Amino acid sequence: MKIEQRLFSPALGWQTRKGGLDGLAPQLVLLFGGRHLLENAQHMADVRKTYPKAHVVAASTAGEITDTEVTDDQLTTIAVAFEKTKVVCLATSVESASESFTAGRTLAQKLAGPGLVHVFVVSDGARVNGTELARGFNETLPPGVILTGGLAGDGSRFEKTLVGLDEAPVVGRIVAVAFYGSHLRTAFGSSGGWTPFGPERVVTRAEGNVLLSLDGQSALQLYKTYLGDHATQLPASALRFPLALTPADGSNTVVRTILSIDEKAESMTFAGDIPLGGRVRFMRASYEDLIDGAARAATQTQKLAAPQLVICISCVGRHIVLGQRTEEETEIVRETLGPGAVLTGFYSYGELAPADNATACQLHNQTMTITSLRED
Amino acid sequence: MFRHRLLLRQLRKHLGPAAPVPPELTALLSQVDEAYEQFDGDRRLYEHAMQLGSAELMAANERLERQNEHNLAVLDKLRASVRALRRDEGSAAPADDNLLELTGVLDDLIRQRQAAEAALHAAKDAAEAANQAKSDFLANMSHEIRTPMNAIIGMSSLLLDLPLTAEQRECIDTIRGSGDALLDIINDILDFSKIESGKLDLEAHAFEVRLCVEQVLDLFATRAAEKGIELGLYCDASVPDMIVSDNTRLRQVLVNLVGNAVKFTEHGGITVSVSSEPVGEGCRLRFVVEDSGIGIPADRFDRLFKSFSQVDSSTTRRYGGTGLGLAISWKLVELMGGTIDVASEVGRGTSFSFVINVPTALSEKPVSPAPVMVDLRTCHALVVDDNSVNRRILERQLANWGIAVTCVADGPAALAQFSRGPAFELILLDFNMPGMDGLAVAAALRGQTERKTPPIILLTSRGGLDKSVGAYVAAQMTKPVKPRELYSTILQVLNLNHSAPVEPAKLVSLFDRDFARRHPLRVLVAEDNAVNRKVVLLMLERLGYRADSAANGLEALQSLARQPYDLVLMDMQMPVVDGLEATRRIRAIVSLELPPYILALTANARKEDYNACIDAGMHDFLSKPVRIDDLMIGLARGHAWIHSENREAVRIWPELVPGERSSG
Repeated sequence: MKIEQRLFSPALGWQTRKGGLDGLAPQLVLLFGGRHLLENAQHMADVRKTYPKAHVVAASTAGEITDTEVTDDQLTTIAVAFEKTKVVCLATSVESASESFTAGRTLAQKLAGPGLVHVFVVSDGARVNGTELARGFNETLPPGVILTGGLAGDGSRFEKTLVGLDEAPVVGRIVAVAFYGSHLRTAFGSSGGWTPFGPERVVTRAEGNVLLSLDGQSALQLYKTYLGDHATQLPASALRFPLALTPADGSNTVVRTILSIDEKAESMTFAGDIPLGGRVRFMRASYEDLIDGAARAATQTQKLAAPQLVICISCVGRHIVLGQRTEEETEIVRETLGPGAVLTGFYSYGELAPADNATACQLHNQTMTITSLRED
Repeated sequence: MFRHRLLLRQLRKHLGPAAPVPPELTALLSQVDEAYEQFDGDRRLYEHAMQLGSAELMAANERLERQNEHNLAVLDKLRASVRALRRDEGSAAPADDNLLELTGVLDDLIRQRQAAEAALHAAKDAAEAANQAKSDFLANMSHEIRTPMNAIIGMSSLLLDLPLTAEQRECIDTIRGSGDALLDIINDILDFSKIESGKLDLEAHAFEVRLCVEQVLDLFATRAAEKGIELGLYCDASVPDMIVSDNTRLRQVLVNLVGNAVKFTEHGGITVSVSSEPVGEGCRLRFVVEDSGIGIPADRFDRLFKSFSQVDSSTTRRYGGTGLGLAISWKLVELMGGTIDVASEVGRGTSFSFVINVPTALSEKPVSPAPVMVDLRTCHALVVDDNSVNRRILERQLANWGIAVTCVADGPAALAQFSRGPAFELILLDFNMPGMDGLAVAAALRGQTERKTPPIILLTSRGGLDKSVGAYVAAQMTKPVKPRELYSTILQVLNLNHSAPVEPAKLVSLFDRDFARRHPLRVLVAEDNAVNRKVVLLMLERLGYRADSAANGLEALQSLARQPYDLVLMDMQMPVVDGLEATRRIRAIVSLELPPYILALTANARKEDYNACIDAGMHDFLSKPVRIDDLMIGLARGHAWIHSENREAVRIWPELVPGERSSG
């Protein structure tokens, strides 16, 4: 596996941060960047000109990770030349969240085949229901195939997110990158660092991923009360208090983060399902908690020694809370994993990875989720 | 320049009270300022949230304490009551009863209540199980009946295509007709059971309401003509092109009402009128079906819409039917948010009307384009028809387009009106009139020399007259006259139209032997029932196909392994390997966008079955009994799919951008 890493900023243009393709033509380019930059067709054309033979998977972000550096509204690329691994990219689109399950299932059906070891998914982060997308993949992917990835972001604007495969990125797109062959080793890690506080409340009105009321009271009003002065910065400020959600069926507690609010309907849309009858608590995290979380995620990936490529997908909520200290997350990942690997990634509206030691992928919120790869 | 007090103080201390900040440090210091501010803001936010959280927990705690006190008080009262009870019984037990005994009493109470609840649950479960059993029975029965029905209807259709004596043809016609009638009854019963169990969901899609009503009238045109009664449609100009509702169910209601009207009318005719008024974003559609039939006594109105009830049991004996039709229509209209009203007078006729509120589909374009509207207000038409129902409909319809109308009831009156009355630009002439028929009137009008004869449109009940008619009339139309066709014909005869008239739908002959040549396909039929297999194979043979067959899913898989097929007609219920499993096994090897195109055959006409087929990887669905025209549509679709560039788009998935690259 040979890797080249480049970074674009409006002030400095394109710079190569790490060269090393050794003359090989890369098959895969991951392009993460600010939504407004991705809307400019010139940048996409530049990337495709640089790597004419590669598939370019692009996603808008809430922050780009280039090595340990975290930027906002820039573009970062990683071009990978695999030497022994086959890479297949597939894209599909959804018109509404209700199609998310079928989208996951269809992509998985098309990708399942001999030698499939890992699928990395980059999806629209505003329209797609990540829980359902993961469920569609899980039902169809052969056992043992690991799925990781993330949902695209849009800064702290929450307007629209863009994803594309060899094209101008668009709303509603889902791209899956599948790796085939016995020479690729992968590992993943995912951890949050959030702690619940305050009373437990019951979800009394909700539909899919839209929450209306808790304990019979307007959920939006409750958030406004808790946010105080910060309520003026909704929906971004609500990311400081994600929900710890325990569904009524007793399944595992998950963290849910807010995507948007509707003042007229007094409703809040979350990045995953909020099932009726579920019990929720507000969560909070200190800087140290979050950085410890990132370290835990990195430690989990150490099952794979000497990784060559490390893709960090971290939640926009962490970026908002950490502010100027965001880079401490990427620094701790680098510290844990050593100097060998190339680090890339982005701040997202949702992370995809199996929970703990399970193999079925789940949608996570507010985590640092790491996928590491090595080709033997 | 900087906001945070700590930073301002630090600057004052290190640089002196009035000293300027060195410019090279400005960027650094604003970041420090921002970090200080964020830190304070975060701390305030979390303190505020923690305070609220702990206040809420305190309040909850207080509530719990109060509840606890209340519970203790109740317990005390209970304890006193138990003591009093003991004293009343003269019990020798010591008065210092302990809490253990008390809990014993409470436990008993709780056990009793739990037993009662368990009994209730059991009763509810039993009721639900019974209901499920009923649904299963109905679905099963429907399957059991449909399978032989498939043979009856299919075989009789095949027979009708052979050279037959008149007597044989009549016998087979009867068998075929009875088969259709029996199928209608089964469908009625299934629908009713679905409505009863609340399982009938209406769909919402955009469709042409005019087309829906016209198709219903087409269905009854032959029967009405045979009975010698008129069937007319008036569609007000206010009715929107496209509405959003359930086309199939609206059609079902209209078929039922018009079918009843035709059944119970011996003289005169039936008028169907549709009008509309705007309501908010949509419109309120009003449908009226009026007949001049036997009528219904007023004291029987309340029984009309009850299930299994006709006006009286003698009606059933004389006219047939399950008595479910009106009950189903009532429920369907109710589901659409409306009600059915009835007005009737014995011996004079009956009028059923219903009103539904529907959204209009402005963005959807009608399939049949609306004719270009032309100003017809200077036009004066003469309508000649002996039937008053027909006269009224034509008058309303023409007036709706701005045409002035004069109506007369027979030929002599028409001739008199023509020579004495105002000048006419157009004459609409009924063919079947007592005394002087339409053709005679036309000849007489042509023969006179006083006035120039305007274009004549001849209306007939029974298909084409011979070609000589052309000498007298400008156009002829078959009743029931559809407003849009009439409009376009008027424009044509008045030379106001540059586009072709709307062609009435042509009847397709039952078996098209050329079909296979136009839609070549390698077909495999997988069906376990020998009779049904033979029916489908014979139908395919008549269409020109030489198809192979398999008696179960496993045989089908073996056939597919031996040679490729373009299309598989796959029965769902088969022994060894059923249709769904066979399809899944095919799809495990061959992806969805590659042949074979799989067409499900099933006697279960439920939506779940359809979904199961699509989920398994089938492309389309045919309900048994298989009708030849449905089969032809299914085969034509399969043929189109095989030859389409982008097969994926034909089925569920709108966009797919595959890309592949391999190395090493």
